[in-house]
Amino acid sequence: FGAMKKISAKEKLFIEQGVEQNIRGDGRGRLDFRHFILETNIISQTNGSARLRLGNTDILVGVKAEVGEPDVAHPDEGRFMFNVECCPSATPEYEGRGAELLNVELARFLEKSMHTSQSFNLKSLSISPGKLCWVLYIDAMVLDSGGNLNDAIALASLAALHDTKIPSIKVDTVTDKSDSSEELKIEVSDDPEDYRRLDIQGLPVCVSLTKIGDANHFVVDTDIPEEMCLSARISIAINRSGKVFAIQKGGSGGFDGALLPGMM
Amino acid sequence: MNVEILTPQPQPPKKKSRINVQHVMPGDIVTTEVGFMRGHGTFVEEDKLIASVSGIVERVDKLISVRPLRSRYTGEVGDVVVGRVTELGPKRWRVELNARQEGQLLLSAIHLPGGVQRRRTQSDELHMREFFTENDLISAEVQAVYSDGLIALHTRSLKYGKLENGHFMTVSPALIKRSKNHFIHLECGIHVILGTNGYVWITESVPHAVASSDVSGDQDISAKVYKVITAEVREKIARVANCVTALAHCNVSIHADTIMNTYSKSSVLKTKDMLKPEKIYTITQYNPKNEEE
Repeated sequence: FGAMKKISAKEKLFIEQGVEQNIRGDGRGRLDFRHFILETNIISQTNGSARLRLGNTDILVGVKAEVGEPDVAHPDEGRFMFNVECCPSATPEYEGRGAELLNVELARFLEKSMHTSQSFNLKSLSISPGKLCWVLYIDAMVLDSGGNLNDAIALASLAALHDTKIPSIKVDTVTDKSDSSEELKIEVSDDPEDYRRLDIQGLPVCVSLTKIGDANHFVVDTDIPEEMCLSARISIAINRSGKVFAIQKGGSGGFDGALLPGMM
Repeated sequence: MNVEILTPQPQPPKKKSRINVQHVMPGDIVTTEVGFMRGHGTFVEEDKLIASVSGIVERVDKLISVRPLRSRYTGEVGDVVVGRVTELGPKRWRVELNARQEGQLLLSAIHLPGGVQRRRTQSDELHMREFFTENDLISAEVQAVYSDGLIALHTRSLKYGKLENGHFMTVSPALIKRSKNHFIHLECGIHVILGTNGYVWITESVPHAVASSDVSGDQDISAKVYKVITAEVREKIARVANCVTALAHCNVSIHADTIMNTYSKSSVLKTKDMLKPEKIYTITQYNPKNEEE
């Protein structure tokens, strides 16, 4: 409703005690996720899209595939470009330039977790090594914030990538007779049935663990009041084979390093 | 983890409307008959009465108005509200009420500890933070609404004051209708304060503080013994909170009957499962006994 995020000391105490007793505001335990609804293939102008609703958090992700040049350091690989935008209409804090830092932080986390050749075969996105490759622009929009943005954006992006269809492409080398330079002519298929999917088996999901209160209790999937009580948070991107890709720590508090293995 | 593939979103069951309800959008013609006085939410154009807001047409004798379905809370004298203190000013607190403007609680309008009636002194003003500080939640009553929309509050009774040790949530103000009693004691031992402004406070029922004559002179309102909520009570508070969330989600008006109805219907489910889309509509179905064709 446009109310700024504020919480009183006694409410904080109530939430901390709830976490200790393993009963949170809506009856969830510390390790319970909220119910979420995930839809894919909802934006027709994109190559892939997904929308995730987790409590009040509403994330929309669109993937567009465009032909571009590969990174000089990795000439035979394609690229991902992650962009996150927290809509100014989501919360008053996001108005104007309020969300700038948050956007960068979220995008950087996505990049660290998904843009590695260990989780995804970037070579499969190459068209002509050294010259052309597919560049996937993954744009995430936070339409409404109900807490736990890291996990939600990662999950929605994963779903959008799963939904992505890369059209088939034909590459011809055309030799220019006048200066004998070679040019690549590409023909992207118009046929909506002519596409391939991405192999996202290795891509990670993200789980954020938040410390609330003094005892060493962690909760997953925090909502807004809980996020106002957090002292520290750690987001871990981990894939199905257990490989950890990114760890990001948020919050100004600290926690015992010995707890890390247990949390993972 | 339970994964289901839902085809279309579960839709709420369609209710047969019993009364002839006229729902209008801005720009719709409300009536072309003459002789009506136009009320809020309408304007006249070329002898036609046109709605300026989206809502339900209300006719009272010769007065036609359109009541909007959703609008900001506008205070009325006598409303019970829950608010959050945002700042302290000279002899007053500013309280955020989910309305168009912040409300105001004057130092002279609060209930002093000991039930004593006296002039507020300089010392009172310097110790304002001991009564209510920033971000505190309070329950209060609307004393007056000024012409510019400013809402003046008072906490001149023991039942109003600082709210501690409970769960706070927000719903649309349109769902909480003005009624005789906004302090609801549910049979399960839970006390709910339904602020007319859409703010709801859920806590454990405690035996109501007796008249101020029992309170000793040096006991402070804020020095109530902080009772630790047990797991059992906390579970009930969470269940009631989920009932309110479910009712708000299904656009059902929130009062003691609907909350208890949803609470009893939900007893078969685990508290954290209550808000699942397939369950949320079954538990909020409310059939008052006088609803007959």
